[in-house]
Order: sequence, then structure tokens, then C-alpha cells
Amino acid sequence: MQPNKELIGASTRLLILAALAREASYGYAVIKSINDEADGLFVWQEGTVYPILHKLEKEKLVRAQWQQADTGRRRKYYYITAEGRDALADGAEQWNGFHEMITSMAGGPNG
Amino acid sequence: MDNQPLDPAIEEKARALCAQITVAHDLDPEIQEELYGHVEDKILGYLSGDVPVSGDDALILVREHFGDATTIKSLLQDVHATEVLMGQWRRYAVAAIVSLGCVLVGRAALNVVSFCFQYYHFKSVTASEALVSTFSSQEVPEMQPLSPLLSIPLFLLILGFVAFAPWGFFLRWRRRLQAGDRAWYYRWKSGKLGAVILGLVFLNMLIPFIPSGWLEVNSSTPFSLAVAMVCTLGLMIGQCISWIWWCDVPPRTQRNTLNTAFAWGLGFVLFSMLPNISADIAASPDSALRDPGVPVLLQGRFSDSSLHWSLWWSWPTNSLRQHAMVLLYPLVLGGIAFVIYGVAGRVRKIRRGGGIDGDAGTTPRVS
Repeated sequence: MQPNKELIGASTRLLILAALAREASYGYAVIKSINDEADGLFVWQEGTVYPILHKLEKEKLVRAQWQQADTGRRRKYYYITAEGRDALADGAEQWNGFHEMITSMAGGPNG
Repeated sequence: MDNQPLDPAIEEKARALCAQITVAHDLDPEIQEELYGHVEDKILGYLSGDVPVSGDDALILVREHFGDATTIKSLLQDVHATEVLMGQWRRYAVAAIVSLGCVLVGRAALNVVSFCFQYYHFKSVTASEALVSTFSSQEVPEMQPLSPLLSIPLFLLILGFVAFAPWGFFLRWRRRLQAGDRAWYYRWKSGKLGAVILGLVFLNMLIPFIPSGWLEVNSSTPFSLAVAMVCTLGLMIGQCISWIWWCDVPPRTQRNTLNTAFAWGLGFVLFSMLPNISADIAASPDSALRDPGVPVLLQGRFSDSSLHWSLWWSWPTNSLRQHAMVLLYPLVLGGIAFVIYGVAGRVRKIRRGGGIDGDAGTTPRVS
């Protein structure tokens, strides 16, 4: 089942922040790790992730730095900031709240 | 992942894909580099995968997964809206610097030549002696504070430096651009760019423009018109070449070329409306452009001759028709810029043996 676009769009910021909270990384590697984790649940249009990364950088939720990747090539690494971690925690809490509410309503006595 | 570099043909196509997204819209070159890194990693991933694919097939797959270039371009422009706007203004500011710089260099060079002619014409009595006498004259009191600056060697040295130093400067920057450095105008802060523009305007106003009154050339003769046209054409070509050497980082786009050509021209038009110092040296009051000039008493074997020197601040007194003619400058400059860019692009293509090089009018397109 392929989730609808709105759901993917709404979760992208949090997914990126969550991936960066695990490990600082560059665009391609972030997308790859999330795709691996999604295991076919959804497929991103990869180029659209970069505007989101840049927006997160402007909002100071992540910071960026050019450095050498394991492959020896120069890549722009993103690091999550303290504000980013707070935003991730807030966002995850909201998602959980919605998730519990939808589960409860859909799976309730009349569901 | 394979650490081998990409095949040059595939690399060029991958860069063209990224350029399609970023270049035409003044997005930071680093964004293009970041996108290229993604495309490169992805292609290498396909090439080293279990199912062997060709470079071209890998590029098709990458393009498919990367998403619609127009959408990504639009999203990046939204995120970087301020930078896009500032980038365009920065480009105009640079065009103004090139325009003013070329006018400054052109006038300084012209003055050096004029001084040499005057030295030859008046033999031992040099023009700068007349100039010094004018600056220290009671008749032009506002010029007196500048008189210590005007000794022959110092004045010629300064003019010579202003006229010829930029070549070294251009060459140095050309080498840096070719080595992959970011263009200087992306590195400079806005305040520095503004200060340089103001400085150039100030210097342009300070350097006297010497009409050749002593050669009995004035604005009514066809000869002076021809000289003016040759000088203007030389200035235009100089501006174009300065831009290519100093500022322009391929791939170029038609839009940026056109914008820049107009900005050059408009810089020149605005400059032509500023007041500046004019100077005239004439062998007799009758041939002086401004009457009365300051008479200079000549010594020795020239004591029976007279020299008349005028130096004055003035606002341009062009007629409406002359102003309208000046407005043609951006159009002509735009045409010359396209021709020079076209020739430069062809030469580069021939040197590289063809292929996409992204010169003017050939914005890379990956369909």
C-alpha cells in the first residue's frame, strides 16, 4: 500500500530530523537510510528532499558543513541542533497523539 | 560504493541535470554541487549494483527517482527566495563595477596618451606644469587643495597604475575561476560591493577628462565623432572581455547575459549623467573649449607663446537627443556581448571537441 502524498509530505521533516538524530549525514545517505527503513512503504522523489533540508537549515534545526565522506568525495553533511531535537520531540509527540486518536476512533467499539 | 570517478560524458550530463535546476536562477553554486553529489552517488550505486546497467541507463533511473526538475527548482527558489533576489542584485552591482572600472581605466589610459601628446606638442613645457599652475592658481581656489598631488611622475604613475594594473588583477581572478574558486562577487559582502561602486564613481569624477582642444578637435568635427565612436566601441569590447575574464562563470544563460549587458550599459548611462572634472589645454584662447582659460606663462624659447589651461567641474549639458542616443548604449552593448559570448563559446567548444559546455544561449537541458 502506497501512503497518500499528504501523509508523506507531512512526515518528511520529522523523518529527516529523526534520521539526523541517529547520525549526522549528507543528503544521499539520509534519503537512502530512510528508504531502507521504509522498506517499500513509500518512495520519495529524492530531489524534493533538498529544499526541505535547506529549510531546516534556515530554521536552524540542522546545521551543515562540507566534509569528506567515506567514499573520499566532498559532501555536505547535516547535523541536528538542540532546537532540531526539541522540534523532533514535539513533532513525534504530536504524531503519537494523532496516531492514538485515530487508532482509538477507528478501532473502538463501533469501529 | 565504487570510488572510481564517473565517465566524463556521464558526469557532464549529470552536471547538466543539476545546472538545469540551479544555474539559471542565481541559486548558490554550492546547491548545484550538493545536488551533483547526490546524482553522482546514485549513478555509482547503480553502476556497482547486482544488475549491471550502462551509464546512460543509470542516468535515466537517477532522473526518474530524482523528481521533476521544474518542481525542485521552484521549491529551492521558494526556500532561497532572498538569496535569489540578492544574487540578481549582486550581479547588477558587479556589472556596475565592471562598467565603472572600464570607464575609469579607459579615461586614465586616454589621459596618459593625452599627456604624452601634449608633452610632444609643447616640447619642454609639459601639460602637467600647466596643470600644477592651474591647481595652485588663485583663479581656481577650489582646486588648490589638490595641487600637491600633481607632480609629473606621481600623476603619470597613478594614471599608469590605474590604466594597466587591472590586467594583472583580471588574470589572477581568471586563474582562480578556472581552478574552481567561487567568483569574487559571491565572496564579497554587499557592503564591500557598494563601497567599491561608490569609490569608482568618486574616482571617475576625480580623474579629469581631457578634451583635445589643443588638437583643435571639437564636437562639431566628423573626426571627433569618429574618435568618440572608436573609443566607445573599444570601451564596450573592453567591458565584455573584462566580464568574461574576471566575473563570468560558465555555464552562462541567455537571461543572465542579457541582464548583465543591460546593467553594464545602464551603469554607463548613469555615469554619463554625473558631474565630473573636465580639463582643456589650448595653444590660444581662440581654440580653448572654455573661455577664459588660465593663461600659463611659458619660459625659455617658448616665452613668446601662450598656453591656456581650463579645469572645471561640470554637470553634463547633453541635449535630450544626446541623452536619447546614450540610451542606445545598452542595446548596442547587448548585441556586442552576444557576439563575443557566442565566439567565446564556439572557441571553447572547438577546444573541447564539442559537447555541452553551457555557453550563452545554450543553457544545458536534459530532456
